[in-house]
Amino acid sequence: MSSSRASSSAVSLNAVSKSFGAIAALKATSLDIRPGELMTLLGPSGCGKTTLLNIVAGFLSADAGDVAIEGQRVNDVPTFQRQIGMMFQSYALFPHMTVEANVGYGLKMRGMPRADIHRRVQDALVLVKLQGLEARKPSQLSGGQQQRIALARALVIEPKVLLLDEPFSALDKSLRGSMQIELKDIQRKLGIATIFVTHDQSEALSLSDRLAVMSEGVIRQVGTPHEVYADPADRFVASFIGDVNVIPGVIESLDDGRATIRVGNGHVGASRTHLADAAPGTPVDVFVRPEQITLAAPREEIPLTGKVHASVFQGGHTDVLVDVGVEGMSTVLVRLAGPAHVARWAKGAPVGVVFAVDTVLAFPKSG
Amino acid sequence: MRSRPFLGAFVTPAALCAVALVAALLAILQYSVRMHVPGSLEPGDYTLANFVALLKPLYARVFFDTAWICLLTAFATLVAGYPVAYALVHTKRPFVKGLILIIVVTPLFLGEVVRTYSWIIVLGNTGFINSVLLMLGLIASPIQLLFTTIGVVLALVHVTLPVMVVMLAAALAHIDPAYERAAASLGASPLRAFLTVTLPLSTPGILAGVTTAFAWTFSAFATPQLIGGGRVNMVSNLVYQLGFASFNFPFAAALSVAGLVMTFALLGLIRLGTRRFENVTQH
Repeated sequence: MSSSRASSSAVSLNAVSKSFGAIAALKATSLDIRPGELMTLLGPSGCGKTTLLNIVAGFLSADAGDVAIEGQRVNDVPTFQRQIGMMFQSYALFPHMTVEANVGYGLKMRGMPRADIHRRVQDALVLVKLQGLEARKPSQLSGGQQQRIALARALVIEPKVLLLDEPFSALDKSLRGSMQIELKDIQRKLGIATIFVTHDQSEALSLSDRLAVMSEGVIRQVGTPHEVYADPADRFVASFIGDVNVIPGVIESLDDGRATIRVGNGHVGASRTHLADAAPGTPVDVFVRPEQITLAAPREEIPLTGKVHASVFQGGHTDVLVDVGVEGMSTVLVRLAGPAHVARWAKGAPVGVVFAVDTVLAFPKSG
Repeated sequence: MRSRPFLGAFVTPAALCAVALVAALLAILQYSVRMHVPGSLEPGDYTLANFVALLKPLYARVFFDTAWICLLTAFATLVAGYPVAYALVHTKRPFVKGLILIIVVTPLFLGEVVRTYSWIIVLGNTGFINSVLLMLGLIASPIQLLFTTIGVVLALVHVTLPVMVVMLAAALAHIDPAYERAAASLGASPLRAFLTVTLPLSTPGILAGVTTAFAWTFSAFATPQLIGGGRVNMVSNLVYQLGFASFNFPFAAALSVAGLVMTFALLGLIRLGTRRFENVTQH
């Protein structure tokens, strides 16, 4: 373990792996969480993100590799001595204790005098904007209030790292957005290193300082939300983050940094990052975001033509699904900003799909 | 309301049993307020003399002893059963789970007489316990276990354990494992997490287990009869003696009624004293 690297990290994972029987839940994984940053572990269920979180928390022990918190190796340190704060998916508020007792629990375990506990609990409740409910039981609180209490309980002990296990999944959508903003505000204000586990990519994009995209026990990419969205490392990341259309094409020509790809009757440019070994004539998949394409009247020289399958008004934008007669793909999703598109692109109308950017992502055909 | 076409047919057997039970209880109630006619199985006139006689120290003593044995048994079963139930719920190995379950439930399948005789062999002066203790040099002469309250309680704990463990396990299995994890993340050692979170959250199971163990033990007959050997008397043994040795059916009936009333009264008291814990795990 390189101690110099570890000491500058809030949490450092070095070649950590974990298997359950024959299933490798986590393959040798390394990751550094910087002080004060919110790092998201994002991936579909079974990708190993929860396993990783549980290893940091100490609920699971790694088969191999090292876990360090603030530079100190904690492989053999039990959970209750790791000084972590954790928020659970179900919140896990103790049902037999009042709000005050729940929030004060961690301080009581640390042997703090009662008067100090009371004061610190009050401060924590101010932080999460939930005072006056100290005597209530968790069952008497709404879902949003329970979440604030769970956050206060995790933060009041001033943990070295805050662990969040899908904390928003139990909230309804309207509440989720505002809670996310508040959580991010509190996290930034306290400057506490945070590991946040979610399968919701929009949540990950909006909250993270950096995120690690995982699948099948492997971290596929680590980067800022913008990096991961704009420059995905592989096909998995490209299709998991944000909506994307996968359109078949063929490399027509290559020069230094760019490839020109023929799609239908038209062309589009792509960076060669993921096409290092490709030659002209190689079939590729073009990954294009719904907002990177637009609609036009059908005519020659247009990449794809078809008929409108459906126009869905989404408030701020309109999603248009276009049936294109290309083998291997059913519809193309086009996202048009602004209103008034629904009427223009009515169901059944003939339409052409054109690229609105001159550089898209392309990957060699899989398999 | 939806119609339930089979309800009548399904309920009939249970209803018939209930009617028979109520009739039997009413007969006992009726007998308990009749006079005993020595030398006759037919009761005499109506009287409250049977219940007045219950107040005699000789009989009151038996009621007191019975309640004491029940309390001891319920408490000892709780202490013995809790770790077993905890292990049963928390072990990850199906084999261990199955093994614990089989060992715990076996007493229910043994006949009462067979089980009790095994205990006589274990508890006797040359029995297993005394032989082992003598061999280890821990005692100089055998301890009297047979024909003592301790012996009776031991045997009663054995047969009450399955019920207790099953009830505790049901309660423990309902506790979200996230609570113990949350406690650990907040700095509670495993022991403190158990004492402050798991134990209080399992109080409904503890109450149900203790209450059932108590009522279950109150009607014990063969165990005190054989292991107590006439020196440890519980209400059932007294009823048996009066009914089938003295043929004093009215007084035996009065004892039974009093036993029933006392069971309900004590259960009511336990319930009253612990009501405040009832809502502990309501979500």
